[in-house]
Amino acid sequence: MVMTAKVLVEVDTRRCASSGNCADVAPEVFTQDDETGVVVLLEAHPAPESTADVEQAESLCPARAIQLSAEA
Amino acid sequence: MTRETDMTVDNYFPPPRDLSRCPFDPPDELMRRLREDPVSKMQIWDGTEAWVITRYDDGRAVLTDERFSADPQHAGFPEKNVAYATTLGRDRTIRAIDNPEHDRQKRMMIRDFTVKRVEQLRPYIESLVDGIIDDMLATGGPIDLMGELAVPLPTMVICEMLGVPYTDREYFGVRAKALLAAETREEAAAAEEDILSYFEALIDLKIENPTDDLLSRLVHDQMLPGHFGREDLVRLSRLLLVAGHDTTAGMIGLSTLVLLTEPDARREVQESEDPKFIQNAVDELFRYLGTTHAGRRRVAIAEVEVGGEIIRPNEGVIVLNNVMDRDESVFQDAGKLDLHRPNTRSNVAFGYGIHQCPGQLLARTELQIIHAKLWKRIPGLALAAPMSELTFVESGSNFEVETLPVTW
Repeated sequence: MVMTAKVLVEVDTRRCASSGNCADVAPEVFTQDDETGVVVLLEAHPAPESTADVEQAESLCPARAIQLSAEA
Repeated sequence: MTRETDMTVDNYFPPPRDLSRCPFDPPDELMRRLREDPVSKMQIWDGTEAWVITRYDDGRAVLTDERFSADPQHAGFPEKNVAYATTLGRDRTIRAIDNPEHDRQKRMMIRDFTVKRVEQLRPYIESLVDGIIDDMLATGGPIDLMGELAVPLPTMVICEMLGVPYTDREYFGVRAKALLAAETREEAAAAEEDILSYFEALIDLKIENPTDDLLSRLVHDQMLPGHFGREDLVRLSRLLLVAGHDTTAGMIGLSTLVLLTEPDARREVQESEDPKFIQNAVDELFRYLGTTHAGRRRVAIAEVEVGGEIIRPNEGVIVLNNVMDRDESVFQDAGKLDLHRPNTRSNVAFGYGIHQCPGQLLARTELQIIHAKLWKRIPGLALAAPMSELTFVESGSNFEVETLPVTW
């Protein structure tokens, strides 16, 4: 895991199970819809300092609704 | 060696814990399986066999695989006990249904459990905890911490959120316990009848007099327009009430007990002013204690390979989240309570997959507030009975201590 690499974040709102884990560990990148709890992506191109949080969010997501890829 | 079809004691789930050595560790037999036999069959209460999954990666794979169903009405589903088979297992609400219906229902009821809403509740929960501690200090020790703090706090919180009068707590508290502890179908059915009629009456009240709470919103936004059946709403309310206080109460008691027996960890919690540390400490307490030790129950609806074993359709699966959280390949020195553990947030104490506990943020917040306040406000807190005299409850869904006598 390279902590300073930039990542591209994608979310699949159809898969999202409203667990809130992503908004809990990476609030600068993810939030939740107030009514349905479904993920709302705030920042598809987060700053490198957020990479570790975003990777944790991806790993914790119980519905596998977050995809990360290397940002060119 | 125990083989799959042996009807020996070693093959019965759940095997006993070694309470005299370390009550907080999972049973030795399950830890042996994690090392030697990670996907293997055990016999359960109704005489049937189920696969027991012990490794972290295998367990997470099962819980995110749609070829496993969480629906207890599916043939071969390994139900927890007779009480669940008679009552909660017959619900058609979020705990017991698969997608797409699961997500539809979850999105109707989750708004009071989001990160934002739970954070808004924090000052309210803090004031409740302060009030309870004020009362403890005014009364003086010894007291039973289960009865004075562990049960009342989560009960007050879930009552407030759901819109259930707290003054009715004894009525449903007794029945919820009876429901979960029932040993026969008749006992379970009787406790269930009472608690369901209670919610029937409460829903009628909310139809006439809506208030600012989850139940009123579900009645007016979902049930009356026809998105959610009345029968299902009655059962969902029961689930939220039972799940909302029982598991959290058990965890408050057991986490306090373990800190009373681990002086270094306790000192760190007592002296810390860092909310991030308290948050990590609470996550580690969830990982280490693994109180939801009956595991996550599923049934295969297709043939699936897990950890080198073939699981066939209609075969039951018990995913042991408490044993997964002791997997050394993920958590180094997993048998040790380490409040600074860097990856402890990855624990599966609340399950994994779409059925992960919707109340996890709320439960974690309640535990954080308690441990940030209790040790500072009552620095002399100590057990008022020897550890050997405590009674642990192993038989139910949750591992917990029956009473927790403390003084200061």
